[in-house]
Amino acid sequence: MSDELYPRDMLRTASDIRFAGSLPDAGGHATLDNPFCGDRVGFDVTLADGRIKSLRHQVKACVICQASAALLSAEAEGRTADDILDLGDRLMAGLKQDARPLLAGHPAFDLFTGITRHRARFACVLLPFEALEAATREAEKATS
Amino acid sequence: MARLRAAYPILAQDIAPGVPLHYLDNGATGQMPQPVLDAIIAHETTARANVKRSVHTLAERATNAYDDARDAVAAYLKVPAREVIFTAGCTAAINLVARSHGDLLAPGDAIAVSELEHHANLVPWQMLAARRGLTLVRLPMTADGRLDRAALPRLIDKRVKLVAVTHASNVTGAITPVAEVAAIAHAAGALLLVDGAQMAPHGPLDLPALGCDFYVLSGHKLGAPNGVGVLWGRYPLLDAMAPLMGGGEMIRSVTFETSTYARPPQRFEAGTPPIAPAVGLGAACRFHAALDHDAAMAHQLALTGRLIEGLARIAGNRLRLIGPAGLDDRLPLVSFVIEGTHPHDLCQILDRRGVALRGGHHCAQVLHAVYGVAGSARASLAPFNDAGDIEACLAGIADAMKVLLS
Repeated sequence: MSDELYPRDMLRTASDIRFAGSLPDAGGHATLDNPFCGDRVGFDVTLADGRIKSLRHQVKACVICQASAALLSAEAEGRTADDILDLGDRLMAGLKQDARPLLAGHPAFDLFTGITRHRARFACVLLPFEALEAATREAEKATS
Repeated sequence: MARLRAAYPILAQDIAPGVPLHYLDNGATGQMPQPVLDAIIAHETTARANVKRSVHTLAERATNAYDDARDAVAAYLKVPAREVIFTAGCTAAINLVARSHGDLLAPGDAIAVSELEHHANLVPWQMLAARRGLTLVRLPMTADGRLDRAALPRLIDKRVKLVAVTHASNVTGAITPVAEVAAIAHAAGALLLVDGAQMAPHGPLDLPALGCDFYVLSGHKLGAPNGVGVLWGRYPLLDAMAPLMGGGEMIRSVTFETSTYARPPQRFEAGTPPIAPAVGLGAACRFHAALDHDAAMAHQLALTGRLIEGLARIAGNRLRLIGPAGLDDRLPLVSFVIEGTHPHDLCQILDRRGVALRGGHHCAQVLHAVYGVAGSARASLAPFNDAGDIEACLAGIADAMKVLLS
């Protein structure tokens, strides 16, 4: 049975494990918790020319957070830490304003339109952005 | 402005049988308009729950209301919401900066504070100076109770790492040229904290244009409940500060041995926040933002001029204004001493006529010491005040002088 908050596509996306795992040669790593529930997301990244070349995530979190990590991972290649920060900020604004699309240029994130009325869950969507930004900053620092 | 008065239920009462209330103590606490009361009642009766914990409907509503309140404050100040920290008030906000930013200062550094300050913007810096081995630099005021701008470039030197001044004095009413002070502070490499307790109730602010680095305001002076205030700071400054209080809500992750902390603003909001007061503050910001503040200020300054003229007529050469006599660059508040009377005796007699004034040192003993008086009486106006309030005040003062000087 599909659900406004948990559409089938979200469950399918959450189970996408293409980017799950770790990178032995990671240039940067960060793990962050959702302070409100204890969910945890980690990212390993490698950079090329200051931009994300490859990544892997480690997610122990709710379905919403798993789906967000999967979507973000699929769209992260070639981006900088500032890009990830900007994406997260724009997605947050879209969630607050109940915008369509939620994130201009990234229709896949409309998967989360059902949670715009559930502000306590915004942090679930945004945790992967914060963790990936932190991992990418660490990698940028290591290469600078 | 008559319609505005009707928005404040407290003003409809007689303070004693046949004695209407003339509230002229807005500088101490602003009265609460109906939309703020409505917002608080609606919150407490339809959305009362803790925030950012549970996902049930009431908790969602409470979280939305709390976040909406932060957005309303941010819009009022023209700043990003993530730079707005809810505190218990101005005092708590300044103490937070004095502790968390103060820990980043080194022995030998200096903090510059003006003589005009409320104790809330002096004592925390004294405590910081004692704790960290810092020097406190005294920024003087002019004879008419304004920050002495001419003295600033000489006193704010390279040792000074932080300047703390009021946006508008709670005693003299003088408005500080914040952008000018910010330029002087920044040229010396110092940050600028501005105490907006008195200024914020007089209309929306543009903090980026002011150029300060920290700004604090108090909810109850805006007509919100007690127990909520705001610290605004530039995000990189906030991000460099350690939390003042530890507990729930402010963490990222906790193990038995150690913890990591959330980003601002949550890093500085340990424990269950003042949710309903914040909702009230958000409603108060929206209420004030909707007023025509140019018209409101012109109305209040006209009343201020009438009050000053009336005082001079009634008290003659016994009158001493604690602040400027003119109406330029000032708030609609007037502090004064009538020679031969004590401010508390004056205020006591005024109260019989339903006129609420404040008497005392107004938590600004340094300023009063410069004037050579222990205290003063203060009338502080809000947009809802009218000529009847001023006339009642002046009549009461004339009465009081007959009683106290006969």
